[in-house]
Amino acid sequence: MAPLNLENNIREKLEDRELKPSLDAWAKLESRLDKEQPKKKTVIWYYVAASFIGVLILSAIFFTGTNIDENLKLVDENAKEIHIEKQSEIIVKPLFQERVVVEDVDKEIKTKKKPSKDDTKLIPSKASAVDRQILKGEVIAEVSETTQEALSVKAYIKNENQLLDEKASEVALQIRSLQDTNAEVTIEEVEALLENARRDIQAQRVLKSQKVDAMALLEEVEWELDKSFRDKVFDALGEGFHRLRTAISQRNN
Amino acid sequence: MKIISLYKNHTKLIAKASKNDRRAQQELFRQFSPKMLGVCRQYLKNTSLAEEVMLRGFMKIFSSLETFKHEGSFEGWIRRIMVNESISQLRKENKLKFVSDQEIENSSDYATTIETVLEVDEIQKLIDSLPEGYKTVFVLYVVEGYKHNEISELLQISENTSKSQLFKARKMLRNMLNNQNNINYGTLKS
Repeated sequence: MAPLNLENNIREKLEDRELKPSLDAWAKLESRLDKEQPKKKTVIWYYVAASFIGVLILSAIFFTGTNIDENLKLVDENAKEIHIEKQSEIIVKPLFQERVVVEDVDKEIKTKKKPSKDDTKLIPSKASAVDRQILKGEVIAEVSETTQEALSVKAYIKNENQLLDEKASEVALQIRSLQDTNAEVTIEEVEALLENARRDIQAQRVLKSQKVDAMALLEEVEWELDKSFRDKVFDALGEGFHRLRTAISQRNN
Repeated sequence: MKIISLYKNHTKLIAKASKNDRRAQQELFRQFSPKMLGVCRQYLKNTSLAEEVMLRGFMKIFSSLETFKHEGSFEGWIRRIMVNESISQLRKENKLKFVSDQEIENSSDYATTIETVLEVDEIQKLIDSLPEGYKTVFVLYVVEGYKHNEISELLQISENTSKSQLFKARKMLRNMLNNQNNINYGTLKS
């Protein structure tokens, strides 16, 4: 017999060698596999729990998302209302706007310009509709935010100031003349003079204004002589009339 | 045709077994457990311990069947699992002790040639008589076809140690066979 390589012999014999396992080998393995399975079940339950939590989170995000949308809508509507209100104020009460202007020109221009910017930012789509409304009314055009019109408003205010200054000095002169003729100037007399001056200013305003608005006229009926005019009268009279000023302010209180 | 149907059957069985189909698992066990017990027995003298290690190996196989990508043979895959399991058992028992020796070249020169064909039981007896370290490296190298670098990685030893272990295993086997022959001759003479 030819000599054999021991290692080849061993490989051939051991490689395919089969040994019969004990009879209960599978039963042992099966019981171990059964023990392993509950673990897998618990893993599945973990997945179920995790997915449930995931769904909860997603739904929470979804619902909060819609709430945000609703809030946005609400805000949008409010902004719309405010916008319309602002516009209507401008339309109906042009004189009120003008009076504010008399007190502080710069403030007036700023307050007029600011809301326009904000409005366009908040509801750009609605601005065009409002613009169309504005185009219909002629008074609205007068108080629109264009720079040209702002300049015209400034000129108007200048005239108004001039008129007020003139009237104030006039009233002051009248009071002085009263002072010269009479020893005592009564509050009633000063009040009467101021009332006259107010009427004159009012009349001139009506005459100067090219457009007549019924609402504006109604507003004017309730118009009170504003403090700035009174102050101007007192300034024109000089410092000697502190008494008169305090008397009038006390009467007002 | 038979091979193709067998392959198909295995693929189906593996797919079912990976989904915890107990029948499919049992069928795979029935087909492969005798051979795998033989693998484990190469490293472990105690047959019941070898069976225990084999069962552990099957547990691992069934729990990680999804990771089997059908790239190599299924038998090769489960065989490797069994080898790893057997070695971890030896390590657990603290039986794998290797002494780093000087480099030994051409250890194959010591490969033994014999005139008689040894039966499997005789081979197993010879291997069982080897120290654990020699035996493990010898079986991995000769039977499983591992290379020294693979053995060194698996057993966490240097390649030189692996080579020296193989050399010593071969030398010891030759001596044992020579002794056996002498005894036989003696028997014949008497």
